[in-house]
This record gives sequence, structure tokens and C-alpha cells, in this order.
Amino acid sequence: MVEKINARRKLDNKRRVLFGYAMALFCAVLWGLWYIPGDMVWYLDPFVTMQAEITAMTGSETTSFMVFAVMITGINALLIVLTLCIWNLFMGKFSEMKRTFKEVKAADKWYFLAAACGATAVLGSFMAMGFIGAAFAAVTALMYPVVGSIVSRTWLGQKISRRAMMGIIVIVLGGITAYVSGFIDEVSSGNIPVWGFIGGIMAAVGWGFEGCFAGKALDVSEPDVGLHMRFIFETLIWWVIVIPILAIAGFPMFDYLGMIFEPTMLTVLIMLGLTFGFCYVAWYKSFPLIGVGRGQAVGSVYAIMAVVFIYMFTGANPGWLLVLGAVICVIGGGLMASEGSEEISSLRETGAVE
Amino acid sequence: MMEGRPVKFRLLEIFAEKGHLWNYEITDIMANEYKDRKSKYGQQATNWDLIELAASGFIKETDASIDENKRNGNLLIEYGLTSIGRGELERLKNTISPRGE
Repeated sequence: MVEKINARRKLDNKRRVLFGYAMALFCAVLWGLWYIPGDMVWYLDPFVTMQAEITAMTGSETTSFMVFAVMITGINALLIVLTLCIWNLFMGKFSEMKRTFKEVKAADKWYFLAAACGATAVLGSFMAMGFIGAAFAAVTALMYPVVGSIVSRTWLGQKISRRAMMGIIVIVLGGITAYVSGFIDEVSSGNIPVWGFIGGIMAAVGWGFEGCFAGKALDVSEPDVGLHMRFIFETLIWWVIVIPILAIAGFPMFDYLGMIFEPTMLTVLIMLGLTFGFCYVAWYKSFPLIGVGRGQAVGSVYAIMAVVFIYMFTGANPGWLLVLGAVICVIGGGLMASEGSEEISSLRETGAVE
Repeated sequence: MMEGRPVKFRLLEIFAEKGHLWNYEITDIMANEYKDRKSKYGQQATNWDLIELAASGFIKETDASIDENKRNGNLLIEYGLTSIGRGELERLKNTISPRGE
């Protein structure tokens, strides 16, 4: 009987961990897809006109890019709140949502910090997309699992095995290979867009920290509900603080909003909300099951997905170094996924059972 | 104190009050207290919450058995509160808003 129980327990544990990895991979696919609409919005009206107006107003294309990056990050957050409303309604999570809202004090600090770090990361990513390009934006963020793993280990006390650490290192090496390829392209064209590189670093550090703060919030909240709370906090940061301040400063933040209900634009925005919204649903579901470090490392296969999708949709040739980087990332992900599931049945040192 | 509050808050309190419990005992308690945890889907959701709390290290498996009544023999797990789970519950008790009772 004991053997039967152990075999069944092992199977259940394996299934749970596999589900966690599947969620992280699902997140990677959607995250990679997100770069397509994320890149397209820069070239569609009314936003092209908006950017032109800001450039004419300030005489600086950089300011125009930065203000638009803020605008589109705010729209992105709002779209995800709407997507999650539909998701949580469909999943029957509204009662838990109401209960969590009433007790928001128990984790408000973590929701806010996760939202602030996530906001920094998405803004950084849009900056990298706008100043350099989507493929570059995707690969520059690849360092985020390293930030996430180090912080989750030192601060959340989550365990990271030697194999998981090796997987993370291999993924990062793949990311750096891909990064070098983007860097060489930019330097050889004689153009070094500093704000694009800063955006890439913002994305890596922001997402790394977000995962850890989210992990803390998810300790006491249901993942779908916790995620919704995090995006409500982010939406408030953009639409109650940052965007009104820019509007008061004289930028046309609200002038073009009425024009987004044009079919092409609306389709792109819906794609933006759906891909990013569900990518986050899967990402947050993976954290409690496999840990922040592993969830982030497997999730970073998104960079390969992004390169593949960008190639499929725009025909942009990724170059052999980028492909090599992608392959190294897959090997790293495989290394982590091959870890014994028993090792991650509990993610931290628990102390004695009462 | 935690009745009607977020599910994970209440789960920690139940373990603190009642000691070691099997997962089916917990899903029954939650089904009686929370309307959205009555259905089969709701009970599965409670089971997931237990798995997540165990992954967070707040509760830990103390025993396991096979449900012989089910054709596939579901795994039944008994959990108990850990010391970090107790610490988290105390923290939550200090942050929740008063109910005016």
C-alpha cells in the first residue's frame, strides 16, 4: 500500500510540476506574439500623427518616442484589466475578487511593487521596440530570470537547485549571444540608440523584480485574482498619476484616444490585450507551482518565439547569431524542465509542522 | 475571524484551529462556508489552493492515502500548518480590516 501511495504521490507531483512548466511555455508563446501588435502600434494612425505633433511641439523625436511609450504602456495596462475582467468572470472568480478587494491591505504593498516594476518593464520594452526594434526588445529582456532568481533566492527564500541554476545560466548565455547579434547590427549601421538599450535594461530588471513581488502577493491570493489586482494598480499608476501629469505639461495625451475605434487599430489593440493578458495569466499560474526562478527561465523562451513570429509576420531576417542564441535558450529550458519534480514539491524551507 | 475573507486566509486559520486535516475534509468545510466552493469545480479550486499553500511552504503534507472508492484511486493528502504558515497567519490577522462585530 505504501508503495502504491508513493507511486501515486510521485505521479501527482510530476503532473503538478509539468502543468507549471506547460503554463510557463504557454506564457512564452503569447509573450512572443505580443511583440507583433506591440511593434505595429508605433506605425499606425492616430498614433503616428500624435508622435508627429509631439515632435513638432518639442523639436525632439526622443521626447515624442518616450511620451508615446508611456501612452501605449498605459493603454496596454487598461486593455489587460478588461481582458482579465472577462477571464475572471468566465472562471467564476468574481466572489474571490470581491473578498480580496476588501482585504487589499494584506498584500497592497506587494501588488503595488509588482505593478510598479511591471510598469517599468513594459515601458522599457516599448522604448526598446520604438527606438531599436521588436526583436532587439525581446532579447534584451532575457536577463530578467537572473535578476528574478537571485532576488527570489535571497529574499523569498525559494530553493534553487544546481541543475536549475545551470539551466538559468545556459538561457542567459543564449540571450547574450542573441543580444550581441542585435548590438553588432546597430553599431555597424553607425547608430547607437541609447534609450533603446536603457529600455532593454529596464525590462530585465523590472520583470525580474516583478516576479518576486508577485510571488509574495500570490502567497496569500489566488493567482488570477492577484494578477488582476496587480494590473488594476498599474492602470491607476498610469491613468491617475503619470498620463494626467503629462497632459497638464501640455502633451496631447487624451486628444487622440477617441480615434482608436477604427477597425485596424482596434484589432491591433485587442491583440495586444489578449496576448499580454493571457501570457500573464499563464506566467502567474506557473509561479506557485514551479517557483519564480524556473517560471521566469522557461518563460524566457518568449524571445525565440518573438524572433520566429517577427520573421513570420514581417519577413525580417533574424541572422545566424540570433538563431544560435535561440537554440541555446531552448537547451537551457530543457535542462531546467528535466529536473526531478520531487525537488520542487515545496519551494522554501518551511520549518516544523505543528 | 477569517470567515468570508479570501480563501487562503481562511485555509490557514482552519489548519491553525483544527490541526492536521485531509484535503477532502477541507474542501467540505470550504464548500459549507463559501458559496463559490460548493460545486465540483469550486472544490477542485480549493484543492489547488492547498497545493499552492504547500508550494509556498505554509502547510506541509503529513500523511497520504488512496481513495479506494474512486475507480482511478485518487490520492488523498493530509496537511498540517508549518511554522512559517503560522507566522503568515499572525501577520494576516494584524492586517485585516475589522468587521464591526
